[in-house]
Amino acid sequence: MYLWDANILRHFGQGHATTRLYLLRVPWAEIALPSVVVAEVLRGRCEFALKATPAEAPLAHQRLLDTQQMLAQFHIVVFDGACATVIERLRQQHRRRRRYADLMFAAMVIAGQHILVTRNRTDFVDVLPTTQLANWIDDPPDAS
Amino acid sequence: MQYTLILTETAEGSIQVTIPALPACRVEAATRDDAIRLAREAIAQLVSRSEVVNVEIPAQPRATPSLHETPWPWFGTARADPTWDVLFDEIEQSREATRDAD
Repeated sequence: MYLWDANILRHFGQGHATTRLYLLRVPWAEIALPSVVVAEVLRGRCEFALKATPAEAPLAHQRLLDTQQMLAQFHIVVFDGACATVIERLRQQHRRRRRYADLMFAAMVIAGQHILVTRNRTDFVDVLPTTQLANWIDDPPDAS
Repeated sequence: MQYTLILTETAEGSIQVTIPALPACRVEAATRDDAIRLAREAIAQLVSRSEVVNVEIPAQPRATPSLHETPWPWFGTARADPTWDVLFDEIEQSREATRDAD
């Protein structure tokens, strides 16, 4: 599966031209969101909705529901027990300062033999092989 | 009661009759007139052995969308939403806050 980092979902929502080119080539069944991204996005939308002023609340709540519906269109890959095992090993092997979400993505990619689609490829090059990294924003697909 | 008949000429030149209201009822004849006559008889025979019962089914058949098409209604829909970028900026900030200590 092509696991999308949040920055790819961001550009999906913005209708990015390069992302669209990939979407035309890759079957939707092969694309998934990690449950980590789903949690991050919903948390953000929930916080907007709960902190909104009465005047802002109707739109903030509608956006929460719209986002929930958008996310529901995606296949979701869950951070499971196998991922938890891998992340412990990664923490021991890679002492460089890392963000927790990045480690979770790396663990999911290794445990499930997925490909991580992210704009922050440099954060993963020492953890994941280049064949398991892709950037659907800055690297246009081959013309073939 | 009236029934609509669809008369179709086959490759062999005969006339085939299909009845949309009764899809199980089909006849074929050499001529148009015979086809209509046979269809009338077949309908009468079927109807004489049939009972019409109306049932209410609340559920509707589920359309199976193409997996390729499923996400596209949402592609680019956040362009007009100024909070979309803010949302992802905050996700980045939250991630930075979780960076491991040296």
